[in-house]
Amino acid sequence: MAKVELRGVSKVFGSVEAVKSVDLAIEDGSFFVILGPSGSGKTTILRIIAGLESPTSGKVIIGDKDVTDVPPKDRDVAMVFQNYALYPHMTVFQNLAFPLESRGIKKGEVRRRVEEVASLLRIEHLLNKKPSQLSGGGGKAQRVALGRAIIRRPKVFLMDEPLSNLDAKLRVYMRSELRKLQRTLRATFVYVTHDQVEAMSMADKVAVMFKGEIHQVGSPAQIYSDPQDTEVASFIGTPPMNLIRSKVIRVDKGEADIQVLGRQVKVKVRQNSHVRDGEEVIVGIRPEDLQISKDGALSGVVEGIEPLGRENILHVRLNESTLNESTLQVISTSTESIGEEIRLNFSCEKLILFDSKTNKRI
Amino acid sequence: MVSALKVKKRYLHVLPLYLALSVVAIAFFFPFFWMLMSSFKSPAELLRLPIVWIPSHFLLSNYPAVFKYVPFTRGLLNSALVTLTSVFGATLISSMAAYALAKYRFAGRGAFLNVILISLSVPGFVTLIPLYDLVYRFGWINSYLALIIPYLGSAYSIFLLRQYIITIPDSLIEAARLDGANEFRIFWRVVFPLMRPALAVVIFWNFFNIWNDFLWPLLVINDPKLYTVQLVLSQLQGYESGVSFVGILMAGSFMAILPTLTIYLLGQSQMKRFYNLGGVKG
Amino acid sequence: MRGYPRHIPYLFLLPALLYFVVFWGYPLFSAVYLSFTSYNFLKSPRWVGVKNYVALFRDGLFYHSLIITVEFAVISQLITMAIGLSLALAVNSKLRGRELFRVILFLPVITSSVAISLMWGYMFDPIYGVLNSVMKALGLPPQQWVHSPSEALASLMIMTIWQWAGYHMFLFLSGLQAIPEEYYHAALIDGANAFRRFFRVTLPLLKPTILFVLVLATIGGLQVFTPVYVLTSGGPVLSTYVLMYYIYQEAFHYLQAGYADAASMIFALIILAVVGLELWLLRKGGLTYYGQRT
Repeated sequence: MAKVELRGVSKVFGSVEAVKSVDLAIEDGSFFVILGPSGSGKTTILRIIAGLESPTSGKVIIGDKDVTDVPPKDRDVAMVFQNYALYPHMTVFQNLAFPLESRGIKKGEVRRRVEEVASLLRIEHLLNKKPSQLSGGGGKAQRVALGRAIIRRPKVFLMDEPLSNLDAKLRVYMRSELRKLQRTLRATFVYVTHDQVEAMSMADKVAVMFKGEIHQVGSPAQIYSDPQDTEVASFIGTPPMNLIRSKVIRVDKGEADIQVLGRQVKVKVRQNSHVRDGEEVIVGIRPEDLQISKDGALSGVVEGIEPLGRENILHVRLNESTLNESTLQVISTSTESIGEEIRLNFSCEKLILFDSKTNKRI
Repeated sequence: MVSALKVKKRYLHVLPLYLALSVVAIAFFFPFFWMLMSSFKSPAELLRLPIVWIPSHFLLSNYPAVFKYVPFTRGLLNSALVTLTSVFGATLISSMAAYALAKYRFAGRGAFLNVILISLSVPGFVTLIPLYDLVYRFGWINSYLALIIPYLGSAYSIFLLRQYIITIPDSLIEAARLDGANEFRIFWRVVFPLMRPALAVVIFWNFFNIWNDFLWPLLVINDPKLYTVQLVLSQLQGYESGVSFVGILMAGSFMAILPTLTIYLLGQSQMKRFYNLGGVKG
Repeated sequence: MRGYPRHIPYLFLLPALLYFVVFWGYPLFSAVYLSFTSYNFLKSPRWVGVKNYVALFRDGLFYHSLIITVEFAVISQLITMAIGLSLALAVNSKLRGRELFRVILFLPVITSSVAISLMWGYMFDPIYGVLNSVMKALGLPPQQWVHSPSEALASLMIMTIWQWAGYHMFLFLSGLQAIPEEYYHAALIDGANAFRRFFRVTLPLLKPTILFVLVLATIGGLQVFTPVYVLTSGGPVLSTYVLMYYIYQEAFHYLQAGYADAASMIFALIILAVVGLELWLLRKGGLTYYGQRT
């Protein structure tokens, strides 16, 4: 088990900068998730850690060793691919045995460890089957892929969206299974996904990545309640945070007066922010922080309803709008109808400000 | 009643086509049939007019007679040795080259690919005389080397195998790398077994081409002890030119083509699998 | 993809590379060089400049060879292609027995040319051969086949067509099967009959395959050798003295390797010209179908 560090890692493919100078510190034994939309460079980062790509610049450190120039087979990392990459012409047993045989481990020991891993993952009955014979929407194949990674007892486990090929129910189940597995093995997991629900439910720490850059690293709770820029804020959370443009009336000692949502409110700003009077800002508030109340300060009309069973997402168009975005998403557990007038309330403590030019947190 | 009519209509539609194709098939198969029948005819039957279609007695003695006239067993063994060795060698060399060209990035890859493509369009006779000259100066004339080595490179095989290897997912190779296998182990244990359909086509194609080749062995082999079966057959022909000898000639011909025929018929299922995978166009 | 030592791909490539350099690249250059020499394999080549080429231009036999080779290739290959295409079209529909048909048609392709020549040699016999018996049965006059100067080349053509039709059929079948069915469906909906469908849909989309087969057939047909060696030795009266046989005789019988090589060079240029012509003719009016390159 080991920690993983990336220092100043960047990767250029031809004319495309897939990864722009990334620094990451992943603690030993943690479940670390790299979260981002497709094309954000997260898979590239993973492959660089694995050694399947070499960085254009920067260093990769596993444990205490600089492995930047070390080939994959000597890095002692294991990877679970999105499509599992099981050897189709070999049985499950042979698939599991391959990593051990490749390192010259003797037959008896190989057999013992294969059976050990198979029983851990409950796939003993599949040992003589070939990957094409594994049924069940990918769950079994995935466990074999996991087994192949585990059997080597590597320092670091790398996972490239391993759950994306599973159907929804299985995915939810596997999330907790993976988490349990990680704790049992006490291993360092580096997990890449575009699904923020996955990230939030499994991770010890999350690194949110867009277009080759890491925007924020923190625990799921931190990412959620304390996003550092609008991209992170709108990526995390379903439904996403409402973002509204607004103007600062006055800034005074760590507090800004802004006119937003029909009220003038005071919002705390950071020490080092350079927000000035009259400047435009972006205000963020999460749908769940908007309450429907009869004597709320805001009034609006319900324009759309997304029923989710347990709750509904309402799209509310505000009545007083001198602003660009005047439709908010609100969560409701009661039954409204389209066209209905409702009133909303919010607490100004839940407001988050972002610089309208840099999108960064103020 | 109605359904019977429908069925009849459908078959009537295709019937002329079936008929025509059957005629074509019979016409194409006929020479083989004729060769086989004639191999059982006695010299008397061969000289009879009007000609004998099916021999009254199936004379088997033409077959052993072949061996009395020419070293036919030798020829078969030589062909087998040369063909099997060459096919084995060519397959190995071509698959390794195809793998490198398909799954690795390296300087000169494009250049070599172009060389292969060009060599496919340059006809064989252009290099025939210089190649003979080269072999002659190496001192390989009248040796197995002259017959085996020149067959070891097949641009067509490399090209075909490369097209197929490209369809093998990269992630398998990467997984194997992470699993700790060295590059040769990856090739041998992961990629090669997955190339089977393409390999079948390449092996068959090379087998037929090498077994049936005539000109090259004709040039480089003068010693009858090393004659391939094709040369032996030609030797048999030179023995006697009368029609009475034809029975033995046909017997020899049939025995010469029997190996390829057998392998071809046995290999049908493998080849079908390859082409169904969409590996080849044109 | 990285993650491997940089020298590895070269190792995989090495044997093939070695082969191509030694047994193809070098002979290629040597071929050009030798054409300017006088060489009999025993003594070193002696430079003679363009003397070989000049002599070739004066050699009536060379011209004769050239003409009958081209005649042979063009006629036999075009007929083979036509037959191959027709058979492919016929077999393309889901007929039962399709597999068997393909196997039978392909048998001559995998049979050695020597055996085929001997087979047909017997069939061609003017008195005892089966072909003349069939002719007689059909009420047609018996032919001399390979024994007559006027018929020998045609006889060899018939034999060659028989040998390669199955191969052409196979290639055309692959090409046909690569045409997506949607095009036929669209044509059907547009009300096109079978004729129209063939000329407006099938044929244009088959152009790349046709070109490919044409080039292949050209190169193959022009290099005919074995039937000539086994059956006619270039005769009777030089009526089947094809270029390959000419080169063979000059180089290995008369030991005029340089001269024969010069003939090869000219032959190669001719093939290049012919193939170039074919590419040019069929490149114009080619079709690009959406989403795919022609």
